[in-house]
Amino acid sequence: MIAFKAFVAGSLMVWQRRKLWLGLYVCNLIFALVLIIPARSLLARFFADRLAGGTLAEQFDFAIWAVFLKQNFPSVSLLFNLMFVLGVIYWLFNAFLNGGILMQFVNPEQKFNLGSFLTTCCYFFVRFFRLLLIGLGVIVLVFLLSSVIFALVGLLAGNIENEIVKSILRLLAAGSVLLLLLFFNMILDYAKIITVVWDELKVLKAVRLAMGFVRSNFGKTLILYFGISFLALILLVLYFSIHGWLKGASAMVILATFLLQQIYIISKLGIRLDFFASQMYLYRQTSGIVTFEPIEIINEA
Amino acid sequence: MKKCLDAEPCSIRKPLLNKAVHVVGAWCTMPLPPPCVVSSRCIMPLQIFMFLLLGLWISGGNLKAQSQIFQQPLSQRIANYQIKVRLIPEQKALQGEEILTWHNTSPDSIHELYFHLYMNAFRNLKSTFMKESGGRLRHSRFEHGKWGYIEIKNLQLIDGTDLTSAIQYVSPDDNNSDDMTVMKVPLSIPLPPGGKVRLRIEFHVQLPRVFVRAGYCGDFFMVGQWFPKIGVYQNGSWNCHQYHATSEFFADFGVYDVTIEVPKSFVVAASGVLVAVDSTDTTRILHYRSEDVHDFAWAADPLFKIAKEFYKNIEINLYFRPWRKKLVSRYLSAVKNALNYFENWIGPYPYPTLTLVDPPLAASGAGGMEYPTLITVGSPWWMPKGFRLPEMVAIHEFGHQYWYGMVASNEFEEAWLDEGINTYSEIRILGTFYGTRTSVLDLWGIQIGDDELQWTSYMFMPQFDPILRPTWEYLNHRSYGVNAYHKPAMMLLTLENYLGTETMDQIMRTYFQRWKFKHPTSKDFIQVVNEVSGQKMDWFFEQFLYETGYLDYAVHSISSKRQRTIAKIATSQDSLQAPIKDSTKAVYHSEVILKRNGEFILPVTFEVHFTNGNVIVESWSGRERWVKFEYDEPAKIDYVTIDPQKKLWLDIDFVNNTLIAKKSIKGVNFISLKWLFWIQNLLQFFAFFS
Ligand SMILES: [Zn+2]
Repeated sequence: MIAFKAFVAGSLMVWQRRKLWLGLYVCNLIFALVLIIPARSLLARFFADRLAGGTLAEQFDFAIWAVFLKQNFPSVSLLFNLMFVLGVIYWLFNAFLNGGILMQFVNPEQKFNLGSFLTTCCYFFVRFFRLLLIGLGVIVLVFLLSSVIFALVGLLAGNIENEIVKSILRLLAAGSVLLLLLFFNMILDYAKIITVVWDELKVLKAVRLAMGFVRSNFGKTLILYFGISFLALILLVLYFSIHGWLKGASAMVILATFLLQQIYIISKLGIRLDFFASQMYLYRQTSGIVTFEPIEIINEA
Repeated sequence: MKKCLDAEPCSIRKPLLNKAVHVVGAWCTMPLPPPCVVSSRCIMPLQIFMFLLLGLWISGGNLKAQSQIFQQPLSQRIANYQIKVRLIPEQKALQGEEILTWHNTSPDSIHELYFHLYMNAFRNLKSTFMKESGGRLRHSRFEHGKWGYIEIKNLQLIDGTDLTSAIQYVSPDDNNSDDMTVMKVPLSIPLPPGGKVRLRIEFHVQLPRVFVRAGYCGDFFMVGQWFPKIGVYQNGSWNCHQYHATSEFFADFGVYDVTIEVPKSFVVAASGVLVAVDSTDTTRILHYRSEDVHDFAWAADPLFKIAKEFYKNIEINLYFRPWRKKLVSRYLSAVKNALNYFENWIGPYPYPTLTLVDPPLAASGAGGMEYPTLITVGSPWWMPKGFRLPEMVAIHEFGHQYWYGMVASNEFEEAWLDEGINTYSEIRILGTFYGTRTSVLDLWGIQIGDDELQWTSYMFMPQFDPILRPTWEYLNHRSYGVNAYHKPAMMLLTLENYLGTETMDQIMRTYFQRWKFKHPTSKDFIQVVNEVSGQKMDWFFEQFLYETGYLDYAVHSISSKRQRTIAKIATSQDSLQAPIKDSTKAVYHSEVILKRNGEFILPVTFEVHFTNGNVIVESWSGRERWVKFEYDEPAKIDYVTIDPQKKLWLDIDFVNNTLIAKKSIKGVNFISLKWLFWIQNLLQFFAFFS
């Protein structure tokens, strides 16, 4: 029940931090615009004076996209490279923000202040960057583990003729790799929370403590984490169901599609904040830290 | 003069091949041997034969094995095979003996015989096939060490004259001395025109792990290109090419009488008609007969299940592993659609059986292949209904029963005649039964038609090779795909649109009826086109078959300027509207410049749309590099479209076929918004792991 309580409390905290939520959305949009502006000009250069542009608004046209790709291959591959670079920058940027975000949920009653938010971000960035590197290591580890898992499945499937059983085994392997990745990500979430809550300077210690916390509260942490993940899945299904109703390319449909998409993005960002807020709540409740004296960052920074 | 009129079995007429080849030749001078049962030599009146056959069939006897499929031969029956083969599953090997009866229908004396030994392509890495493919082809990879080969244990004339020691391996295409896929057998005594030779060949085949077309995968065996197969003697020489990574096959028609021995647990799928089955305690012996075909393939697997259906009198058997049951109805309904389409389009399928083999996914290299009366299909078992891969493969491979199976063009030298015409047929059939726009994919709002799919594959690489070129001389495997499949299909769609569907149908019908059970060339096809259409279409084929250029018409520019007076200076007057009488109305002088980007030329129509809704339809011979059309109209040009009905499928760029006067960014914005959303999601994905 504590997991559910944490979720509700976390959601309320997120709602109280609407400005932060909105700010994150704006950042996401700005980053996306950095890429979409050159992409749009590429599209405009190619399609604006051709009927094909209108056709694409109405329906998917394989042949038209093929021509576009053929004639703009260098630009398209440049955009893909740019997307990767942007992704990495956004990844680092979020690592920078995470300290500030988590601090917001340590004391949700405090009013949001951009200056102190950014100061907190700076204060924690070095540690969060180290955690980011640990996270990268975890991804590599999971990747290596996955090759072991898939090799084992391959060995097992090698003796099985039935293709359906083989496919199910492979699907299970892929599913377990994903779960593993999420599980490690959850531990790292708690390591971030511990870093902020206890102003823990040693990130490895924070990770160790996070592992200990998850071990001793295994059920609760899992229910909360995968419960919120499930919510994200429901959101995805919901989005695609509603998106399916929007047909055609009238101005109204375009507007409705855009609004729906942005609502989805905002909701997803809310879920991301919910992960932090709810887990923070769970950690504090379970560890008995009901009230908390915020650290004096300004003095130390 | 005695006449040997046999297709087979001639074992009951031993004198025919005693002593020496020239004797045989002197005895057997029938250019077109009718089957034994109706000949004057093998005196067995049809009625008596049928009576006996019926009696023995009722009593379950084995005379069914000697039954004929066709009362009259459909082909010349030049190369006739009696083969006994035993599958040795634990060794992944075959032990075989074949008696080949080959008729010299040429005006020449034959001094040597040429044979394909296709399995030797997989003998080592030095074979031409492996060198060209690099061990990767048709989405599968060769497993090193799992070699395949064929060994000739003994080769002799039927009278016992040994020819084994005379065997030579030759490489007519590339002089690769390590390639052993073509065998030359000199004859000590030349075979005269009209003569026939009978050979007994003992052979051993080691099957490779399924890589391309044939081989084994566990207990699944796909046995294709497996027996010593005589080449085609044509135009004064042997046409017997090596096995190449990008080539298929070419052979003469004949009768195949094949006895297959497998362990009792195995289920066998094979070309032709199963005429008898015998069993011992441990083995099953199946006797198949196939007439007027030029190849024989079979598959064996203890796990096979059989789904049987009929299309009119044609028995369709699909062999599949149980967990692939989900695909059964899709394959069967697709081939029945194809049978129906071909029957109405160009002529009925004449054989009594059609066998489909659905290989396991791990042996997908064996899937999607054609043999006379047997095709292999293939698809992952989970393929959603909206993705018509199973239907596409089944229809394509069935189409080969016509283009390759019956109209047996040379796949080595003119691959477009089978693959290209067949891809064109596939587009038409898929479009008819599954909708033109949705014939390949209709899933999650994404629709792709087969015409678009083939066009896309073509337009990425339109000009490296001409269509007409020996397959192994193409730049690479991709160019083979473009020039054997996609470009010819686009060429035929364009031709259909140029001549009209009715004329095109008549062309295809005539081509099929005239050339079935023969070996036509591109020139024969062109001749039929010219004859049926009543036009000399050589200019069309000269460009698209023999040249490497491309076709691309574009609207280069449009402009409209307001004018005070009415001035009409159009270069193409015919379709212009009547001059405007009311001089108080604004008049716009408009110019349209069309451009030919490619080397190829085809007449093309275009539409000029004006802002007041008026539309002028014009045509252009397409000859000039560019051309200007001028109009004086009471409205500005809205947009211009070349080839508005998308008739020129050879045009490599449909986007530049239109030009709008006033830029429209509605579509661009819509796409940008969609992309924006996906980028936002992707960024969030990155953030999740921060
Ligand atoms: Zn084909």
